[in-house]
Amino acid sequence: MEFDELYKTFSPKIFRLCMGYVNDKDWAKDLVQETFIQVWKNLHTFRNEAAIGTWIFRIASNICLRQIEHSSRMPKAEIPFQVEDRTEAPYDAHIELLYKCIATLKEAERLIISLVLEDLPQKEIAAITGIPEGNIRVKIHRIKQILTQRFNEYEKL
Amino acid sequence: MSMKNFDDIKNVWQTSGEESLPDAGEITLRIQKTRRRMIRKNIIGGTILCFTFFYICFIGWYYHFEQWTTRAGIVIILLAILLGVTFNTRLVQLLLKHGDLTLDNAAYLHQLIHLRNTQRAIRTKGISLYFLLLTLGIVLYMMEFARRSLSFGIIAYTLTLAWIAFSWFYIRKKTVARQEREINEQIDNIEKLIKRMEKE
Repeated sequence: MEFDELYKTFSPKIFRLCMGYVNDKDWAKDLVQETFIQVWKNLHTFRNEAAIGTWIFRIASNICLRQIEHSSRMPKAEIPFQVEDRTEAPYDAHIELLYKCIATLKEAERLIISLVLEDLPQKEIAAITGIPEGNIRVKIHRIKQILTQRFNEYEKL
Repeated sequence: MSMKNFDDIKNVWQTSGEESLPDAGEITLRIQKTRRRMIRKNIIGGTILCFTFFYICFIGWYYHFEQWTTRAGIVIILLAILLGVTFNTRLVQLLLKHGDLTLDNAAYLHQLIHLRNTQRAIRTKGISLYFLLLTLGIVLYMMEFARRSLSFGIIAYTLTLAWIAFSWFYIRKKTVARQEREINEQIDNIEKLIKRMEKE
């Protein structure tokens, strides 16, 4: 697949993953750019040993995790909170709320749930995170529960 | 508002991401710009280094020195410079290169820790070795001139050694301490992250 095509297909997905991780639009956009710069640089090393999607998600999630080296820029959790702007379109408020709920999770959990929300199969999520498939199943189940619960709780606020 | 189940949440998720992201052309343009800048920087750095290196070689070859210590001093200074450059480029590589991003997350984080540890070792050991070699080289190099004139020798050795002592005990110590603090914090953060990942 050509770079342009890859970018078109995957950049919205990668943006969502990064947003789930950092909960900051500008920062997430930077991370998307960084990811695709790395994709462009490493594309010649890609040997179909995994699906190209898995490969790109690996790069993106590693770039997200790497942010921990700059402790001054830690992801925003901002909980407890009020949903600030009720006048926005209902879907925007929901999206904002969702990102905020995800931001309350731990780093690896944020990545895992973002991949689940992208509809990736468990096998692929295991291949991206390096967590054994048996463990990942348990984790996914637990994170889904936590997220659903928080989403409903905060929505009432 | 009604209770949401996980599928509702998934729908919310998939409607997001319509942000105005830059197009692919902008990304490739940025890569090319960075690449050009890096190449330019490398060329300038390399030229300065080559120039210094050949200049010192020229001095060693052109002037007739009576004592072996002078030539030995020159060789050791050259070694120190080469060593300094090697450490520097290796450091830059380590700083720029953040490991193999195509690994899975767990493997990547372990690799990152390994990289940062190497970086720490290079910084502390490398800087010390560089200073020692440079001092030794300068001391040997100046011996011949000091023997020719005692007063020159005393002044030159005192000034040089005082400057080296200042660099060693003040500048080096301060630099190493700051860098250590930064790098230790990074390693600490990554280790905590790995623990959190493995624990649950």
